[in-house]
Amino acid sequence: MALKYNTIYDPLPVQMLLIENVKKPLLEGVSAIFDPNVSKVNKLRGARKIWRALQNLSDLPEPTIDEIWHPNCHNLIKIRDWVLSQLTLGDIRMDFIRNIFNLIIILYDFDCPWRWIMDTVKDKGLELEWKPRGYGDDWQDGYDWWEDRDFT
Amino acid sequence: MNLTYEQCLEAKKVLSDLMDTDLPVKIGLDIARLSNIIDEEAKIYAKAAKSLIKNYEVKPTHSEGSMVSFTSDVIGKNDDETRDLKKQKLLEWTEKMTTLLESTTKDINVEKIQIPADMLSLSMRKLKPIADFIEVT
Repeated sequence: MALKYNTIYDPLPVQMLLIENVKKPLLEGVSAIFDPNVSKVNKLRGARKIWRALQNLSDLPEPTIDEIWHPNCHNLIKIRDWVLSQLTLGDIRMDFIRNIFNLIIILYDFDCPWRWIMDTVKDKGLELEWKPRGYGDDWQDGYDWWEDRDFT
Repeated sequence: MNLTYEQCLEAKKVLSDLMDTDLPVKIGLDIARLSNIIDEEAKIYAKAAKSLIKNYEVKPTHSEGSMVSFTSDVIGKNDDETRDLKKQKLLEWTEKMTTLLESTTKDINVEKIQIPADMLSLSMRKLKPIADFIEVT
């Protein structure tokens, strides 16, 4: 298990890599897509940036319990692996979900402001009595792309 | 005086903050001159770093095409072999970038900036990167 400030994602160069190749294009891409004043061409460019950011993210080694220090990240890794084992979606969707998980885990592990935001969201969500899975869904029989297995 | 590029980047940040401080003309001018020299060195670093960052990608060794493509036969691989390959690549790249950060700038030959003791108040963190360039009078 890695120690704090001693993970493969922690060195300054890796943080710079994440900022330039992942966080910055994601931010720019999302801003362009949701800005009503941006032209369609620039929205497409924004979508391309998001796609590229996720591709860049997949260049990085997937976080494992051995290479991450924060205990909550160890839990997130267990949840990631469990969720992915429940899903029987197509590869593109699976890869997308895996990448989103990996981004959250890496950010949570070394980026204190993001950790603060994520913890706050979690705390406030619980405070406001988060409704259980499936609440309000019309479809009651579950989904054929999801199979509930034991969480180990 | 030679700085590492890491020190150079730290000094750049502090000098940039100082540029917004009201100071006597002579001191302000000396700081601006020093800042220009440091900026030039920082540009050299930025160019090299940008190239390293832009060209970071993992080339697969066991299949054709890019591993970063979102197609099933490549990105789906999160097996130990792929993870080790990506980790090795990241470590090698980190070493290159660290070497760059630890490389020294050209000789920065400037006279120390004379600042009266009671004129400026700087935290230790801010003072450290520029300590060699100033003299308290």
